[in-house]
Amino acid sequence: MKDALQNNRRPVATITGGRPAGRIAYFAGAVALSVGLTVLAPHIPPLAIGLAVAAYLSVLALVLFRTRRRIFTYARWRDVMPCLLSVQDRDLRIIDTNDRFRSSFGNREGEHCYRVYKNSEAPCPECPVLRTFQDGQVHTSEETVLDRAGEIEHVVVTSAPLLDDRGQVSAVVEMSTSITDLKTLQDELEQTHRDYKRLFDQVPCYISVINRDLQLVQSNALYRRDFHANGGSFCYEICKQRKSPCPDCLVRETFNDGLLHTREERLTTHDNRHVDVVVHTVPIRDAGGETTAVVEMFTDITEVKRLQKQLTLMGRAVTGMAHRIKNILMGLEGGIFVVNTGMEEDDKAQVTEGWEMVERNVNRVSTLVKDLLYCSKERIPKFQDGVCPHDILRDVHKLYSKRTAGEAISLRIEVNGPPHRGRFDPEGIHSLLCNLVGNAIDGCRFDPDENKTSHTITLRCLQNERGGTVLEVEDDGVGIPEELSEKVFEDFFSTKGTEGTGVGLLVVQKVAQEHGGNVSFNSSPGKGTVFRVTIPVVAQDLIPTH
Amino acid sequence: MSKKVLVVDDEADVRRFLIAVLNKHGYETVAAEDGTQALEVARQEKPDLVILDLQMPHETGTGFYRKFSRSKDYEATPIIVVSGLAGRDLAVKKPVAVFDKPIDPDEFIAAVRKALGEE
Repeated sequence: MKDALQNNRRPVATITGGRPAGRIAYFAGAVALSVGLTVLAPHIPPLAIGLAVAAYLSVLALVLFRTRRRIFTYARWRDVMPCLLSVQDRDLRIIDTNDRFRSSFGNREGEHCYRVYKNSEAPCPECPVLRTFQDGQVHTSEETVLDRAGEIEHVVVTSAPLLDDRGQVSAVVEMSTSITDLKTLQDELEQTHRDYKRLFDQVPCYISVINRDLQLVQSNALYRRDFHANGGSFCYEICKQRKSPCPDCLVRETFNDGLLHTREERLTTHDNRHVDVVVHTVPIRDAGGETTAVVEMFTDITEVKRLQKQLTLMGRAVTGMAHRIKNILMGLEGGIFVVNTGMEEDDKAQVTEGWEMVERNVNRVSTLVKDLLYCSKERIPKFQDGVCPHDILRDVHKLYSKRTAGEAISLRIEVNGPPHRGRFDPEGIHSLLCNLVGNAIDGCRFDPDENKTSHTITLRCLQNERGGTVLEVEDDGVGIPEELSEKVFEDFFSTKGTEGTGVGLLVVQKVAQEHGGNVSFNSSPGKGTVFRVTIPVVAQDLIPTH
Repeated sequence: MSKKVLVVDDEADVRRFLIAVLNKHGYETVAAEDGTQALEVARQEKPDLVILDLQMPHETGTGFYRKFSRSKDYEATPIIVVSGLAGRDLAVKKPVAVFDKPIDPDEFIAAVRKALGEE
């Protein structure tokens, strides 16, 4: 071991300058001088001998001085190098190190470098030193090492060959520069990037970055989910399904004045949903203060808007309801007054007429209250098996035929196929049909078209090819004006009528939904309206039993 | 000859009530269920007094009033508003009386008499 170490030290001598040939020359010179002096001593004057010895010693001193200086120079360079420096042999044993290395790893000469650096039992798979031994070239790699305190250091390793007289690589010098600080900064930067990305993607609003040409540069996850945008698409195409920029584009305003702008907007998602949002546009500036892009943030306020609208409608509904109740009350008082007058005057016809007024208005109050209860969440649907919708249709037909008796409105029934049975909430379906027929009657009663001498209301119960139940109420009355057709399903929407309660369609919708179905309508202003309730058979099976 | 009163209201039972009260006190009555019809009836029947509801389909009471009061023939015809609407006091410029629904028959008749100058 000791010998091996001595042998291994030999390449170091190549740095210090003591070549074997040189040593032999010094030795031969000294022997020649001694022999020469011994043989020639009696023949040469002592002064010449002294001069010869002095000359030899001078040459020797000069050589020694140069060698010392080279050793000194190497040692000085080695120790001032701002890196961990080691010299390694073919076995990857460390044969020389610098101060900095020793302060980090201790005096580890003679040990394998992988043991020292990594506390490992085998060479690293991509060892730069081994590669230098193979090809004699300089190699660089990034490594992680453990210093003697157990701290992890990230280093850039450069390996360079040390050549012997024959130009063979006799040893490799390995220089490791610490990049731990750089690595820490890089890691922090990456972490910040990840955090930023996560924040960007997880905030509950749509965020996009738009360039000067109004093209999308970047977008967050929510934005991509709802707008299916590709980079390079125009923002007005993505968010508004427009072919040209919006006339009052906030992004452009921010590009122009570099300021923050805000407004309420309505966007259209890729699946044609409308989203009400508050838009904020914020400039992104370069180092020179020039706005290079604009961040557009949309906060979804659809729900707030919906509530706001609901409140407005409810306010209006309460007013409408009060008005309606006042009319009913007046009808009741009128009925009582007519009954009293009839009794005073002993006029039986008047008494009967008055009593009918009372009955009618009591009915209206009870319908109104029932509808209100339907709209509130209090009523739990009572589903029953084996219910025949035809029966309910007939009940409603009978009820309203009586109510419209004497008017030029006829009610008829249409069914396809034999009566079928299923799982329904009979009371709910009854209310649903009453509301649709009530609306239809109002639509006929208030038809201003004098050319129509009579009206027809058709109550249909059909079974579709999938076994679902379709309930239809069609009238040939006034129809729904186009500007109102968007509003008919709004809670509490009502035009004034005598049969409708103003919450009727809400009841229709609620009952339909409870049955897993839906409501639609077609209307031609001046020609009439048909409302259609479709209740799928599959949904009926899923309806829970209460 | 008894005075003629035009009752304009889209609610049949309300109309019937007002007519019953008026008839009981010896007034002749004509009726209309909306503003358009009311203008027509007014032209034919030349009523001495109009009892007007404000909220009706087709032509509102306010709309009817605007057209009615512009015509020279009815300049002197008094109007009594009977309405459940909150703004009933403001809708018609010079009503002789304004009633909220439901009405008190005695107060109503008193107002009718006053409007027709029968007191």
